Amino acid sequence: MNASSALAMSSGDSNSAASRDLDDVRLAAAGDVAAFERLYRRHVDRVYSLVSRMLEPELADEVTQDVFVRVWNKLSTFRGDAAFATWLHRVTVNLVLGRRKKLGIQRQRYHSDPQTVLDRTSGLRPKEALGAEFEAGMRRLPDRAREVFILHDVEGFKHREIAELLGVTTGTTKAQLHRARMLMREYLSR
Amino acid sequence: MSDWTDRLSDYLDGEMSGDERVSLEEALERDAELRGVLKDLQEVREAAVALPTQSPAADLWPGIASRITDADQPAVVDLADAREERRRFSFTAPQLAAAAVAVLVLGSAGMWTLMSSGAGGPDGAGTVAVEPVPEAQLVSAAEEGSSFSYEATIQELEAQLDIGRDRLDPKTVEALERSLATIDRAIAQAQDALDADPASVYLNRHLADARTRKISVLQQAALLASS
Amino acid sequence: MIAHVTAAMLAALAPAQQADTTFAVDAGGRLEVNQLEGVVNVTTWDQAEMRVVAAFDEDEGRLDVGSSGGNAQVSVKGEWGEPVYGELDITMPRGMALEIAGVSLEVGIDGSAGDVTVSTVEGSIGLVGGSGNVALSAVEGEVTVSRASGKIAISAVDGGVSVSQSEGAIALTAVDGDVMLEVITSDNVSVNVVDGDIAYEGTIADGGRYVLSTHDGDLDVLIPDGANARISIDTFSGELDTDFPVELEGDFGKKRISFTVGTGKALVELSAFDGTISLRQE
Repeated sequence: MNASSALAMSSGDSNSAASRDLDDVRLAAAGDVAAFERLYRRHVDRVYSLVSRMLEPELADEVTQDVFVRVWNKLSTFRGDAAFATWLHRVTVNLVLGRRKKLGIQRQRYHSDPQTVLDRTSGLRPKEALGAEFEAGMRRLPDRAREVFILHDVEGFKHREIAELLGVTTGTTKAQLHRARMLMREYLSR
Repeated sequence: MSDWTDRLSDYLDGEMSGDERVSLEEALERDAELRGVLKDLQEVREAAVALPTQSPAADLWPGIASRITDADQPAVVDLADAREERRRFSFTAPQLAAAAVAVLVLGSAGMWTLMSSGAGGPDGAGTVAVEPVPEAQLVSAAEEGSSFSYEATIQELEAQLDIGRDRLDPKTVEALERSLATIDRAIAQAQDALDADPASVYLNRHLADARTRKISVLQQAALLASS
Repeated sequence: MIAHVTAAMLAALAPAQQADTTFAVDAGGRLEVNQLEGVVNVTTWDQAEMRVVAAFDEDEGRLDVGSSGGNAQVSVKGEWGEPVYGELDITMPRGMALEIAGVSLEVGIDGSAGDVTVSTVEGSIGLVGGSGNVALSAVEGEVTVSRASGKIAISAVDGGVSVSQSEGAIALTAVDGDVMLEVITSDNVSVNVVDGDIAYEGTIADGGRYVLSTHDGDLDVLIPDGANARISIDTFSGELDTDFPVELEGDFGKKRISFTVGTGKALVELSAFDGTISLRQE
């Protein structure tokens, strides 16, 4: 399943959803705020889910708002040759990856002793019902592995697309995906 | 563990050539441990696909709307207003005073409910504590139609306090005024900080907390002045 | 039915400034003390009776004790029922619930094993014990609690708060005053202060939630050995000081950061608008 199909399916009837989106995008691009609000209401959960999983939950509200403000400002560049949901998703991922990059730089500045942290955080977690535990496990993945895992397994992107987004090879994304899954397996089975 | 372990994800995702796939499947037939790992990875993948979507705790649209409809304004994330909108009070000053009375005479179980309803507390994203107001009297503006804004609520309570100020012990008045001044300073500082960083979720929440605290102390003061 | 015992008793006590009476009560009931001004001290014993020793001005008031159902009432009142200054020393059954309300009132309670509710305007509250629902409210005065358990809710306006050797969920708000929590066993702690320091030493339990927030003050938290917590820090113009290495996540430029200790099963949310957040490890 690729990203666009995942998004289309999430909206129920893909054709009518895409059609409604296109109508509202045209109106919103002409300045119709109510139309843009309808787009927001239809897509906010999907955007918020991706943002909150890729970043820290505390940042999710703020970054989700940033995504929609950016989309509003870029509506005129939307050519309609892909579904709006796919385009929105791409805007979200780009913004989130940009934010992660910035955070990563700041994080490095404040790393005091990463190995100590790894030792301290190599946690034991009993295998319990998935859900919250699964989300917690994802948060503990190394940065790159977490990005690839969420984009591939949760969001349905293909390796080629992820490699393009992250500026790495598909060999890297495959290796990171496997690493992430193995870590999740370890985390959930402890 | 088998050398094939590192290829199991590729196998799962259909990213292997035919020859490799055959070789791996032969290895799987021989190696129970490898089969176990494959099963686990499959479960991880399935669980990831099945993760539910999440919704923001507060409606983010008001903040977005304010940013896209007023290009001259700095990027304002009005989360506090959004939260306040959801919890807007709709009761009169006498009701507020009655609510404050309730706090003084309320059983401890009730008091706990009030104190823990909101504040960072025990409820996830919501951090707007409306401490001394019995929950039954919290009615959303949408439900009731006749609601008071924060400022109107403050003014009404202050007016009530002024009327009954003479009934209070001067020491008590002094203590209350000192505390209200402390809260006002906190509100002003939080507001200034928010002006400089309007997108800060923390500052929005902090300002809302400080305002709520002011209402809480004013309610106590108004009650004392009216009793 | 309220069975006032005052009439006969007060006739005998008329010229005296002190009353001393003991009467049977329901050990599982509730004691209500409405004393506008004065001092109330409560101690406990293992008897199904209550002793009240009261000091007051005989020209102004009388001791009024009564009981109805499982409830007992104690106060010093004027001739027409108006509130009068009085000092009460009460000994009550250990498990009896206790409710004290006053305006200018000093309250001391020692040894209670039941619900405790106290509200004062001016005056301090001191509590040793209390179990179940403990709710204390003071406008001007210190609140000190030790060896309480259950749901502990404290509201202070102008005065510090200290809670020690206590167990259970704690919700605490203060405007002007420092808050100190020591030897706490809890999986749910919420403290919100406007102007004052907060110190916390206690459990950080897996699955627990600890929210400590001050506007103008320092925050000092002891992270117990072996704690598993996801710790988030919010500040505007404050600082973070730790005595152990942490891997920070988040945007420090916006003064919001977080990190994980152990497996991160507890949630610790710390915020100081303007103050130093110090984390120490055992």
